[in-house]
Amino acid sequence: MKGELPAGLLDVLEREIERRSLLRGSVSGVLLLWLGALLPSGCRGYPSPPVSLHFFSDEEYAIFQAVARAILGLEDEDVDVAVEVDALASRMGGNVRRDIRWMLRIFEHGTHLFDLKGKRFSRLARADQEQYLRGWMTSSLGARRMVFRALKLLSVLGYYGMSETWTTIGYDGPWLGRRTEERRFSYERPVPLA
Amino acid sequence: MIVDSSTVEADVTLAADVCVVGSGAGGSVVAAELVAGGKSVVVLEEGHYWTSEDFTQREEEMYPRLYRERGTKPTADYTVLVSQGRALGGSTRASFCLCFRTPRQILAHWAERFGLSDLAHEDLFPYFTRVEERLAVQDMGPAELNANNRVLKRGAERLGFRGRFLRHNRTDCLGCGYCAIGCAYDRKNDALTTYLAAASTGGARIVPDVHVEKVRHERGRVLGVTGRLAGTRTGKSYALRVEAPTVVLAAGALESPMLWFRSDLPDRQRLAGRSLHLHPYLVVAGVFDEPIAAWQGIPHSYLVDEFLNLDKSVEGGYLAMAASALPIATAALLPGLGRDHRRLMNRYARTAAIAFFLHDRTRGQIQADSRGQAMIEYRLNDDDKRDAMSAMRRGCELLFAAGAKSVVLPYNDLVELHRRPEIQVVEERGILANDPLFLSFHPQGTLPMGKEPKRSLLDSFGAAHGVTGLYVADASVFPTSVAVPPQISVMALATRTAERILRAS
Repeated sequence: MKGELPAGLLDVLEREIERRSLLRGSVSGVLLLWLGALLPSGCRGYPSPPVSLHFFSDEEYAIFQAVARAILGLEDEDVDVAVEVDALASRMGGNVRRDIRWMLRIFEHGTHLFDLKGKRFSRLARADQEQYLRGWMTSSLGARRMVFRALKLLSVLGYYGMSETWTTIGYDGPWLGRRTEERRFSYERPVPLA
Repeated sequence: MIVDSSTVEADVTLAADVCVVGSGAGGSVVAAELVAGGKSVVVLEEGHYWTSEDFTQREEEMYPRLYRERGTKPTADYTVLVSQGRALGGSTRASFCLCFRTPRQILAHWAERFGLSDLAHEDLFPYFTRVEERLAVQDMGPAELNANNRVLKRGAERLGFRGRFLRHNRTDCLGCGYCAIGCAYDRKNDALTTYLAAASTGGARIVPDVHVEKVRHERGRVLGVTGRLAGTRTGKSYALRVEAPTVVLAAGALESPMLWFRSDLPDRQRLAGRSLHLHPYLVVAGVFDEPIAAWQGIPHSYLVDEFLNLDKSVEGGYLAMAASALPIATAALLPGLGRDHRRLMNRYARTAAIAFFLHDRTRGQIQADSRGQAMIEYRLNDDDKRDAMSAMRRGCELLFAAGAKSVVLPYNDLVELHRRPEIQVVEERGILANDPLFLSFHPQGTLPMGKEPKRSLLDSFGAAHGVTGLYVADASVFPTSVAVPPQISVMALATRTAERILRAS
């Protein structure tokens, strides 16, 4: 079972169980998280993404798109956060990529475990998605709050990294490209070591 | 000279009098001072050699370039996200240029409790002066206050809280506001553009893109280091070996202890990595009617130090400074989700933010995880939790006094206050693991100095007890939190370490 979970998150979960005086419900939550890691990752019924992906599978793309849109409160805007994060994640380290995959899987199917819902996350109505997310955000279990934090970080990294989103928040963007200022330091050219 | 190791096609061996591991605030100073003293020096840096032309002012591009783990290295329970620079020049390339001398009360405390009696403020005065001259440190003034700092100053003045302008190592700053992701105009007098440049001119060989694996030592004497060169054109990784009778660890308070562990350096009392302080901070935001545009201008130019009273107690308390507010970082910090979060971001341009830096008493720990990576165990103790709650209350007072229409607390879910008495919610919520979220730019204290080898790993010059030729010159050496941003403390102590090395040879 250990092999099913990324080491960093596993360490946190193990310490939660071993060291903290958790409420009984929280211990149950940890056990449910462990069970969740065994859930199948290959459910059918996910739409095909509009572009070829670098990191996400089709399922992961759909799940993350739903997660990001719910976290960021996006309605019908024509921005594809998941494509942005797919590109960013493809440049991240192997351990991080593994954590992302694991988080998405347990998050998608955790609806059955945590909220006793009959549908996976990406198939829930928006209001139900937000309610489910809120459960992770305010959970008494630190590990669930940790997963929420990580998903939120990825979402904002993808969304607010897109220049077309800046006008919605009044951000005028980098100076580079619209103001010319002198660079002051003369950088030396590196010399080949061999 | 700065070396391009991408052309390497075989294992490499270098020899020098001194090998310095890390090129930030500590390593750069040691390298420059030793070269000036006639030593041959090799500097090894894990990060890349980025120039200002590489600085795009885009967060999503620059965080991965300039920070280890994109600046979001979490503690084990995710309570604190720790940012450490990883570039030639270290964290100083992404710093806010804050220049504080080590408070004299902290140094007196070190003398009394850790036997560091030769580190009194009077002893360090010439080193502070020397470093500040080299960095062209200057006072900020009213002209350097952006709207976010004006909010802090106005709130403090209305409440009668003590405050002052900060001192910075920047010259002719344009106020673009992108300090945290590299100065595209070279107006920071950082480690690369000052000390490392001098070291290079003086003959130091500076090697970026190298991961140092171990310090080699035998019978209590250092022999050099081994590492791997990454990013070569062949796609292969090659071994780098540096033969040097003196090695200076300056890889930062998270990585220097990891190198100590990997190298099996002596540590009978198991002190390495065990007294970690993070100088953590949390951010309280205020929404105003008028435009703030907190991302524009110098991020920190004013300080409120009313709540750090070192004359009364050398432990506890906190500093308040305006917070940097680039959009991705702000969106990650603002609480809530869905419409709540969207509503907050829609008011981004009218939002001011104050950061409260805790002079933490919590002692965390660095250890290697199952993958050999640094794992940070750090759980705020009750005293620091009380300070954090106090900071949130003060943030609320400051922002309302400055004219905020509402105040947003840094909990995971949205807690927005519209009247000052509502701050009672802090007592009800308390501080849980990863709720609220803290950040840290200043990890320190993992290889502490002290007089007694049984209670410390290094002497007051950063020399290792019991290992000839091994020194540490970064924020690891502090026996407690220094209570203030540590750049000048690190550089002053590193200058002293270099002097000791020169005297020893």
